[in-house]
Amino acid sequence: MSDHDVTQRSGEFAPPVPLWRRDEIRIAVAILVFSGWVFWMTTTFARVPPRLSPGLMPHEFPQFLLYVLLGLTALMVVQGLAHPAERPRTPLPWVTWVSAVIVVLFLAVMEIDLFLAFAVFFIALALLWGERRWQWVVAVGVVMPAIIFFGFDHILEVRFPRGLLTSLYYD
Amino acid sequence: MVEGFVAGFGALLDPYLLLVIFLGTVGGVVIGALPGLSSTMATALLVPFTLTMDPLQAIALLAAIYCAGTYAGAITAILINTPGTSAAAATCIDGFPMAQRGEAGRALGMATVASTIGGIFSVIVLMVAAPSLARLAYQFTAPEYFALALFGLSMLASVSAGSSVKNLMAGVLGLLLATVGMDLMTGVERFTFGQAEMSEGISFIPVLIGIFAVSELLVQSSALHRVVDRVTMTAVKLPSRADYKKTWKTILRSCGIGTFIGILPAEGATVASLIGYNEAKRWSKNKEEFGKGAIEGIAGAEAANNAATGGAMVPTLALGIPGSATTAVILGAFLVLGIRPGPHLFTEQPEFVFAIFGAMLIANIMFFFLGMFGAKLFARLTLIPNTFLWPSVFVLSVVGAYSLDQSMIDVWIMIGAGLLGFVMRRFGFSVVPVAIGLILGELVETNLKRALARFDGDLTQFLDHPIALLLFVLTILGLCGPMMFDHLQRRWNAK
Repeated sequence: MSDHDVTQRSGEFAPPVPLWRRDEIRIAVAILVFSGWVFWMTTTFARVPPRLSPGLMPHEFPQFLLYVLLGLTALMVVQGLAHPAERPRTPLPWVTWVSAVIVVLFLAVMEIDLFLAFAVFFIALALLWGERRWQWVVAVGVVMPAIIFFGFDHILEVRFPRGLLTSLYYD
Repeated sequence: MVEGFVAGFGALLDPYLLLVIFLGTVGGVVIGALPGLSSTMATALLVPFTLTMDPLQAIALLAAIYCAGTYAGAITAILINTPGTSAAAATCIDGFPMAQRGEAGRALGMATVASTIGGIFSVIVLMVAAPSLARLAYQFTAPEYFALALFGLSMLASVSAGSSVKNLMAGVLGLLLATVGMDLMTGVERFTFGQAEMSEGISFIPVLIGIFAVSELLVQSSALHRVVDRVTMTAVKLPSRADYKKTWKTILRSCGIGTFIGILPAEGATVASLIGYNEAKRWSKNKEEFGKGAIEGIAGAEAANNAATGGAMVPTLALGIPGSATTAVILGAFLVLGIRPGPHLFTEQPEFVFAIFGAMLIANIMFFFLGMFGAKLFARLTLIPNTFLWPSVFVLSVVGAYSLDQSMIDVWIMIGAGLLGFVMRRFGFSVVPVAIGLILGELVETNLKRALARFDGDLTQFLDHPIALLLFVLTILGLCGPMMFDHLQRRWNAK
């Protein structure tokens, strides 16, 4: 077993990490798929006569960047395989996963009403992160978006998108 | 230039502008003292709210936050062993041991004095160097600007402690994001998915808010149960004569290091403070005290990180190339406010430029007094529970992203950028290069196209431009240097 086939953890030799589970390989595959998709997109750009774009055609610069990105990805894989990380990444706690889901769900609730989404997000995240003074959470979660709404509407003249609650105010 | 100096500093007599600078300084200290919140994130969050302000007030506010936020990271670094900003990481090494042995006031006093000296020194350098650099850059044409932007991007290789290849990959991703929208020369739509709102490209402020604020929220969610050691403090003490005698050389050296590192495109206060600390240790007669509470360690790190603030403004104002992550956001604010930093700004609006210099100078003096008399109060900010702080940051992020163009697409972009930023950080990528790549993207592509059009597609004609050639050489050194250093360090560790 060569040095490259093992991952050292706290002085003990851990079993080798399969190639497909190495971070560098996963990142490289993701970038390869992303680059393929972006490259295909560049082929759909409208074409213009060369005299209108004497330097570079509109699709050439993004394509050049993709080549650079793929070259750097290859270098990262080579470096990563030659020098594997000494410590594996710690798994993400479940709170982080749920927080990320709440952030995404915010986008869905936002379509119903932005300020409802603020209140729901604030309360859900605070409770998830271990806040037990729920009266405070609800109070701040409702009052803060309301202050922001009126502050922005009156002082900065920002008009927020209409929704379930905001329409009541605007109408 | 003298008229500009007089008019610029005269503008600072406006009480409203002074109030804006004061509020920016207080805000910067508050944000810098809160672990997780950085001046980069704060400036990104505030840009949309400055749109209704006069451009000078807006930039003065952001510059004051930048200066004060960089200093205030030291407060929590010393009192709770948690740097308020990444630039204060080196301050923890000696600051917290000093606080543990009952010298928190002395440590904070030294941090405040060293930061103020570093900040003022760098603003003076900024006042001298930026106009000179701008005069030189006045002769730049498309090939030089392209080479300059490329040099700025090459410095991304060493922008953070992470892998230089990963930093460059993140920079390329930023450049790729900058190609979204209508091609300026031909009007061809690129990656717009048929959305009219995307024709103008991706606004960088929502992206910056996402990658700095939303990604940090998710990072914080994985550190909820961190236990913090808290040291109490009676009052901040000015350094004694013996302390000054021990540290004056270190402070001067760190002023030079910090300013130089700051001037280099993309390198910011974090790199400066680490180098400042290492050099303080290397030159010290009391090396064994380092790590156990050496006052020189605090002086070295703090003078360097604040010296980097003025240094980083030099390329930002004179060339339009950001000197650090926060100045990348400030550069974005300039563009959003309709001002293009660069040599023309110095000839067309010298009073504006000198007023910004003056605002930074005042902010450095203000944070000295705030630090000396208010550090104890600001340290209490760390008692704000994360359960209230981070949901509030998210709400402000959404409102900030939306209010820029009053567009919901910007909110989607911000959250998408936040999730992407979190995944990138999780896999060891820095998000700073994405920000800098995104901001420099247009400059790179437009000037490359102009240069190629001028050269009739013949790349060898770049060789006829000595400044461009010099910048290409520096670019190669900037790219290869960190990689060679990584390689040599690995070989050294292997031995």
